[in-house]
Amino acid sequence: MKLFADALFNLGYILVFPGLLYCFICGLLLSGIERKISAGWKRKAGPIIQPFYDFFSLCGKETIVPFAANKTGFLLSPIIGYASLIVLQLFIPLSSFTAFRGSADIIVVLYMLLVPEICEITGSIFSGSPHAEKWFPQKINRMISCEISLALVLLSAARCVGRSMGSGVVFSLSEIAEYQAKNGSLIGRFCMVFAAIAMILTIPGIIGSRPFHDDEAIFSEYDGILLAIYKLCRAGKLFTMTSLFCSLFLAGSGTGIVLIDAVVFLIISVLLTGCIALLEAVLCRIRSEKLIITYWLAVFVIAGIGFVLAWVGA
Amino acid sequence: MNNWQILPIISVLSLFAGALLTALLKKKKALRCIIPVAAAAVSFICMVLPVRRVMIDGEIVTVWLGNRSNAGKCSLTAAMEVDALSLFFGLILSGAILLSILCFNRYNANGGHVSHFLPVFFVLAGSVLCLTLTGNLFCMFLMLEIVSFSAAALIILRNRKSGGSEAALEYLVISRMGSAAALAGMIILYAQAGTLNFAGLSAMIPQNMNAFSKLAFAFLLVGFSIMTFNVPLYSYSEASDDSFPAHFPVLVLDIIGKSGLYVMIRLSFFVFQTMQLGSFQFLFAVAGCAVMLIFAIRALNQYDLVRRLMFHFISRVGSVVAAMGICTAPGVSTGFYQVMSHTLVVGLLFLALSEILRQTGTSDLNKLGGLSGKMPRTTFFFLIGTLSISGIPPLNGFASDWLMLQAVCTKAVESGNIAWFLPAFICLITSLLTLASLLKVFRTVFFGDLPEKFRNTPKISSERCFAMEIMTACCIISGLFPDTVGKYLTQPATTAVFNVSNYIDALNGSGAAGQMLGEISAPAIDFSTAGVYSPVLWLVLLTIAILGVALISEWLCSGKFSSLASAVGSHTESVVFSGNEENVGSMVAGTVFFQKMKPGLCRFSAVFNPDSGFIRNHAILAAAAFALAMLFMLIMI
Repeated sequence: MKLFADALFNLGYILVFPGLLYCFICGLLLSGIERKISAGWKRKAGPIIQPFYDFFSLCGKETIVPFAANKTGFLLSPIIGYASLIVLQLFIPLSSFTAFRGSADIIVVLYMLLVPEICEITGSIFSGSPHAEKWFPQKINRMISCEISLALVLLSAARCVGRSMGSGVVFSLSEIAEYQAKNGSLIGRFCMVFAAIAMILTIPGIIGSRPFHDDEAIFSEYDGILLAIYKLCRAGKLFTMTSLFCSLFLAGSGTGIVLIDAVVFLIISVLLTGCIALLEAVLCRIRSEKLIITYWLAVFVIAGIGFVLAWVGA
Repeated sequence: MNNWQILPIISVLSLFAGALLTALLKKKKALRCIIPVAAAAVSFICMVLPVRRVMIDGEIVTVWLGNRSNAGKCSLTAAMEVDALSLFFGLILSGAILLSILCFNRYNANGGHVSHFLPVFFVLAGSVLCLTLTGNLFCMFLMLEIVSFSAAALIILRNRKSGGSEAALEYLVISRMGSAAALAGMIILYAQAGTLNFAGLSAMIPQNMNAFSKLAFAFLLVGFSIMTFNVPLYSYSEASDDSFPAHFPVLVLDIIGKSGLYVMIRLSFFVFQTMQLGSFQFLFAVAGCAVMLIFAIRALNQYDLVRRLMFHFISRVGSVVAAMGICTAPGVSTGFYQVMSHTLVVGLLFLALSEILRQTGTSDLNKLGGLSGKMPRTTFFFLIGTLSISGIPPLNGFASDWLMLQAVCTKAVESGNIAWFLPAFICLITSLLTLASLLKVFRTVFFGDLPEKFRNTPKISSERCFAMEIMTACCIISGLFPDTVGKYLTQPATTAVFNVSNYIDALNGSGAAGQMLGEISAPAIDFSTAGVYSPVLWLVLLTIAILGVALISEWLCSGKFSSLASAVGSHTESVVFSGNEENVGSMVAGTVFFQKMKPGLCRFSAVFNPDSGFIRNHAILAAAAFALAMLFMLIMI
């Protein structure tokens, strides 16, 4: 009976909170807020819940499989991409609550962030469209630039907490969150300020917004529910990255009550989304090779400074 | 000697017997297919059977050939001493040999004339296996000599282009330099210690390290590295790949390269015991990182599928070297896991490559395309291999990257040196570059327009994918259960690496290590890692999430023509894409990739492309390696 109850609880975690339904609502909501803020700069109008409208309108459109496409891969790629984001969300702590504690650490999270990107690439490959392939090198360049900086940010947090706890490096996100719940948020540490700035600058790269080129052309052959799932992926990446930011730097701001913490984290995510939307509105699109150099010279250096300071205990 | 202790001998002898029988019976077609497989299978089984005793119970097989025992400390008699380290590499190599024989058979059965390769290949395989199982340096040298001549013979045997003879000559010249250096090193060691058995050398040399011993180490390390294609001394690989059934050099390099790794570990950890020195750890880590990065970047510039895959394989070998440089129990265990993982992925991609070549006859990325319709299962297995070598969860490539990052971080904390994080970042960058490169290859080879001359190629039958299915299953299982693999394979091998006294006692009698080395206690070996990773749980969660997303999507669109079910059954007549593009081959063909990065990379062309094809330049490189190694040994040790 207990096993059955546990299984139901776990299924609830995956499908409802903090899994599928929670990701769906929060992801689209943050996407709408991002669009609203960046559109506000251009004096454009539109409701915050426009992404919800777009999603359900796409659900009503026909799903066409191109003649040259590999049908299985074409259909599965967006589904696997979004499913991997849901699983990733299950490992990110909400203050002191983690749905599946002790199952994944920061290295797993770092590599799991690649899976939705790979699914987008494979989706475009399986569609067979030569047009989608033009964006492939840019996408890869973006991934390489951002993942290294993100790795430094994650290791900074791991080292900062590990040093304080006397164990060297703490890889578990749950332990990092619990440490903050007892000792205050990491954002108050000098070294983590650099890491936080680097992470905010990395998020546009992970989700594919400005100043990076919009690579939605990679979905040129997708329509209907599959395109809706890909758009959900993008929204989900935004939500996941903001959640990750909260758990790495602001997990000490929780109350201990899961639902209230979820709301608090959502509010913080909205503020972060505002920052990202501001970046998107203010910055123009920069050429790919210049952007990579910028990221390696600027963002990587900021993240590196944060890592070195965390290493020495500043 | 117990019955089970002759299993390693049978394992080696079966391969040499296979060489003899395939040479004698090559005109009998049925036997020509059965004997090679039987010989390789017997060899592999004889490596598997001692696993429980050697790996789990920690016994060491000691066989004095000719039934002669050690006469005091001095002995020239050949001995076979199989500890967990030897058996681990023996398992990997015998498995790779069996896999290659299975592929040869298929290639041969379909009109490829490789039966004359088999005797020479068996000689090479037998000598490589004997090299890992021997306990004597002279025997190891002898086996490497046979390996080098066999490898050269394999190139010459099939001289489709003039480049084959030149490549063989190039390799022979350079390998003779390596052989001469190794011989010089052995002479110095014998003069110092009076023995060439690893056990005796391990007991005597580290205690009496002098300038001559250091010179001997330099000679042996560089000499054996040249003979086994340890990077950057790999004069064999690029020049000779046109001379074979084009998948062959990948396999030969993999087998010989693994033996080279084994030799390097034996010399560094056992005979000279220099891995405790920070300078050596630094050397291995830097060399490994350089190999990882340089070869991953070089692979991007390759237009030939065989070469591109070969460079990626060599790049991943660099991560093994870097892991050995960490020189902690988790680090060395990670290195062994990477060796195993590397062999599985090389095997899988090599099988897929074989099928592509068998179907199309070419490995030029500019001439390939649209093959997914002809070989859908090969497409899938190639994708699995790509994701595995790039380190995507839950495959074995990710598990090896995860272990590597854990080991590196732990080492950095223990040593207090932040520079130890460098291998972690290089590993991450290499994974991303490999992913980029192989996804591009995947797109180019399997999608786009099918060239006219391949349109009549028959669809591949299911039996020919059996080996790929086995390798894929191994990649997935080893990725899902890295702890189990560690417990039964890599951790016993690591324990053997750090427990030299056991090795000495096994050959020279109980207590011999204590007499020779003084009172020593068994080192404390801790394999625990600070991170957490449950691959099975991750896979279960992902599966449930996929089902959830698919079912909810279907429910949202139920009854409408937008549903997934209707898309699965749909068929469209259109061949025009939404942007009105034509279904042509890859517009960014295998010749062009990372176009914007190329001008920057060209500045480093001398580093990234040192192979000019001239023997003189390779010889200069080898001589420079000797000089640097000698300087390093004399100054740093």
